Amino acid sequence: MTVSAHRMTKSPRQRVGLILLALVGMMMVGIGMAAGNVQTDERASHPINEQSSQGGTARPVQQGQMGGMITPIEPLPFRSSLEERRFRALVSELRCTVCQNESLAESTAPLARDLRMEVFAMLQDGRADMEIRQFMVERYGDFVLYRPPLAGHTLLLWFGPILLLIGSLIGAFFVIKNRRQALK
Amino acid sequence: MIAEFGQISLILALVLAVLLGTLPLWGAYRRNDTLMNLAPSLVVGHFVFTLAAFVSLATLFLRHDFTVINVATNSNLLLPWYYRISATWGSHEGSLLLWILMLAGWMLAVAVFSRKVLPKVFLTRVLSVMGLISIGFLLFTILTSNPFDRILPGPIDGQDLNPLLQDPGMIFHPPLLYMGYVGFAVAFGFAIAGLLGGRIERDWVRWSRPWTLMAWAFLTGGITLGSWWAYYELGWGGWWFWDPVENASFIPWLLGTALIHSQAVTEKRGAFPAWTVLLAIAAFSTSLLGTFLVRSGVLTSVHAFATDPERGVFILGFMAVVTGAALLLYALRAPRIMTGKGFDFVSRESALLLNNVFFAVSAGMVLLGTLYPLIIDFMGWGQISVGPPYFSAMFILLMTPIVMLLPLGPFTRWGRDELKRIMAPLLISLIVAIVAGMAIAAYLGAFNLRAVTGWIGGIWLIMGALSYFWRQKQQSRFMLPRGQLGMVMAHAGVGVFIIGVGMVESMTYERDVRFGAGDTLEVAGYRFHLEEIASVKGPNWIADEGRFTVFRGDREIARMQPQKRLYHRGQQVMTQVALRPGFTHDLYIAMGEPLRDGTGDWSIRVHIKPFVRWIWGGAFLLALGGLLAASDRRYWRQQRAESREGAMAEGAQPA
Amino acid sequence: MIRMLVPLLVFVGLLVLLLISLPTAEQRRQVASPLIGREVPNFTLPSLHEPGVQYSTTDLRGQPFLLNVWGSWCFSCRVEHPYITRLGEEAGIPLVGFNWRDERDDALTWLNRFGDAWTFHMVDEEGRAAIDLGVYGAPETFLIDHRGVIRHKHIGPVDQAIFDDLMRRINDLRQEAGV
Repeated sequence: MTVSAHRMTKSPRQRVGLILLALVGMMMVGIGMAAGNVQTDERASHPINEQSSQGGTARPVQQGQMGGMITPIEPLPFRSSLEERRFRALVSELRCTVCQNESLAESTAPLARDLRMEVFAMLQDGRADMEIRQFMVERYGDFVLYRPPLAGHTLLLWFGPILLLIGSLIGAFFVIKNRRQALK
Repeated sequence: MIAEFGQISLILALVLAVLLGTLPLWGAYRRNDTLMNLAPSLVVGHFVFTLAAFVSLATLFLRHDFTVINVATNSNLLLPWYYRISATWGSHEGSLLLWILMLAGWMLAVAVFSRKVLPKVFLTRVLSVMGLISIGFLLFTILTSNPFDRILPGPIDGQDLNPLLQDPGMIFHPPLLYMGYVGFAVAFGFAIAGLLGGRIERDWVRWSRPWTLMAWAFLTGGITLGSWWAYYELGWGGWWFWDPVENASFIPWLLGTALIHSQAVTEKRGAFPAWTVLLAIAAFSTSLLGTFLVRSGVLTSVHAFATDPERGVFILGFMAVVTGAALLLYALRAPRIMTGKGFDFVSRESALLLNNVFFAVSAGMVLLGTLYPLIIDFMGWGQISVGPPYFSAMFILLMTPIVMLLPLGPFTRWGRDELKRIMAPLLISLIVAIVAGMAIAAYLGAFNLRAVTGWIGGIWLIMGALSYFWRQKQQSRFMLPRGQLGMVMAHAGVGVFIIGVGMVESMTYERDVRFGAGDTLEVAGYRFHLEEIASVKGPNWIADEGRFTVFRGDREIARMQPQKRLYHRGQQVMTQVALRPGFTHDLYIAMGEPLRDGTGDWSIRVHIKPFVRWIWGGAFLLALGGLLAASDRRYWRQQRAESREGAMAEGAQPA
Repeated sequence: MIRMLVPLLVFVGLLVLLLISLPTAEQRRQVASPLIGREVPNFTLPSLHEPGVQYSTTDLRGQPFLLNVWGSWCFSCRVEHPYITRLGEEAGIPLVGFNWRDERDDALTWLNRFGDAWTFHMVDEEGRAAIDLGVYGAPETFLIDHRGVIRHKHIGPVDQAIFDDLMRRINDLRQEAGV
């Protein structure tokens, strides 16, 4: 990304350097946003307050700030909204093996339900996200991870696009450099 | 009888395509007027017979002719008439026929509308190349996927059309999408015709621009409809899944976006001619690749057709011929010297080059991610899945810089410019965007990274587009030309889209709730009250229907009736969601499953999707902007003589 | 010239990848189990016929055995039934039924109707043990050696070809175990 950082001597190059720096900055914003995928608790900023009541007998659930009385399905009494968010993040990144191409969150297959319950049980058990993913991988292989792990065989996948981008930007730099000559 | 008529029409269309792909091309090579003059009539004939075949198939569906295998497997007596028509393109065979019809339609349009604009030799080459493409698809249909095959005796009733496809969105989504895919065949035809001519001339780039814009606009519309359909039909509330089939349509879209921008440079300044040609070839080739991915079964997808590796081999062979020949021609004929006027680092040319780098790399990323499981399997490294977490992260990473720079592009001058000069009229927009973006996000209680960036970025883009519009309007007494208006609209559309994405991805409320009759859920100022769960009956299905009354405060604002349908044939279960669309948020209810504890309660999924309409609204503006730009009068005027001379003069400039 | 050929070369590479991947598409639809070569997970489940009796995978140590995942709700299990019956009769090693996510009554009716050549059946009503085994559909057939290591897994119904293949593998394992 620092194509021209070391040759910021002349003024047009300086400008290019600035542009590239700006690009790097924006990509950092991009990285930040991409990393937002693994954000943790946003409870404070969540505007939607929940209150629920049921016509029949009240069934108390431990649901943090909301004195709710409706049990979420499959009865999944989350202890906190952080736990619920972790659950959602996990099941949406785990692939349902019986399905065509669906996550555990989306699938209605019985096995997907069993696995959701398993994930929930492990969360209640206080296990970390990594451990839960590991549990799935041990049984079904890397195939269940929609986010491929960073390893030798996925280097090209994760870094290929970045390298391609850097290469293309260098190429574009030289094209423009070449075309500047025609200006004079 | 009708099936046989359709069959014969299809064969006649093939004969005409073969004639079209050979004789006029030879004529153009030998400068033989008689042979060249054949092209337009062959195009008309080809269209007429393709249409006849298509109408035949639609008629067979309407008449319930179950002796035709395609009808028997994709329709039945209970299917309403409008879905019988859309069932025509609901199956693999029928959708191929639609594809061919679209191709024939595009050829006809080129023959009619570009007749006055294009030199005869060039037009002939374009039509012939498209005729060659049609041969491939007609052969494919007739040899491997004949929609008119009979089964005797036919069954009394047919099976069902996949219930997922029994939906108004599905009536329009495939035709629009194919219009886009196939539309790139026009850009491809122009590129090949240009290469055959031996010289990349700026005028043929100008002639191909409106066609490319139209194709791109249709593709945008088709993808948007698909996203919208998935949102309400699949019942998960998602709008994009990075499924291989979606990616298959997204790759040509990304390349097409790069193409419409690089065409601008090549037309206006004569720069990057070879790159523009390559992009045109790539956009159409990835459309073919998409066809292959969807129909060969090489990848596992939710949306794929009933797949068949044998068909895969055919498409692959066809792709090898079409794309291989095009790329070989490119290697032999593409201009190797850089032509056109020079430009500096800060210039419109550089800006558009940057656009192309990011869009092409994004296309490469999506392609890599989609095919990576195949590479892993091929190398014997096991099985992996590449899913939304990868694509979203990578795509945001690659798109953020270019999107943030977007408003600067139109303000940048050709040749050479100063950053200070470009930024001056935009400073206000930037400040407004930052302040207003944060304020709005805070007001909505959405003060998180994604929502805030969404608002700031979105407002920055909209303001940037509007200030460009404003400045142009001040500088000229006339209205902006449609090309520019289209651009403003499309760029503002990206802003609208980004706002939608930022809000939906960070602020969606989604919960699975247990509901029995009489239960109420209060959330975000709404009260969802379930009156009862009733059994209802449709023409070819029965369903459990949740009857919700929704209150805001004490006022009843909506009745929502989500259903869980069971279709008679094939016993398929379908979730029919209830939606209350809104400008700032959708209410979305989907029936889950009846709970097994014998209470008769159901698990029901309730979503509140903030600003989700803005996603499609923005995409719709993109498509509309594309169409508007395509209608610019500049492209449709007769300008053969002057532009040709101009192009040659500039092409001759030293590099 | 070379530079202009790059797109063509990339395309040819893509073509080759797709061509090679076509015939293996079916294979990719099956998720290869990471448990092959590892010890069979330890679980204890009740018997189908006598709910009081518990079976454990460790009970079977010392000899190779087959473990066949089935359910009365599973259509393909009926398809493979004749071959499973032959395995029970001809394999010469225990054939353990793994009754997955089923109702006891339905399972017993199903066995009465089609025949029961299994040595015994374990019942996994909840599906927890199945997750430990990496089961993701029925039918599936596991082949476990005398040391308790999973040596092979077949996903989908057994047909003649699979039957022959399984018999070959079983004979190898029997020789290994010296049975």
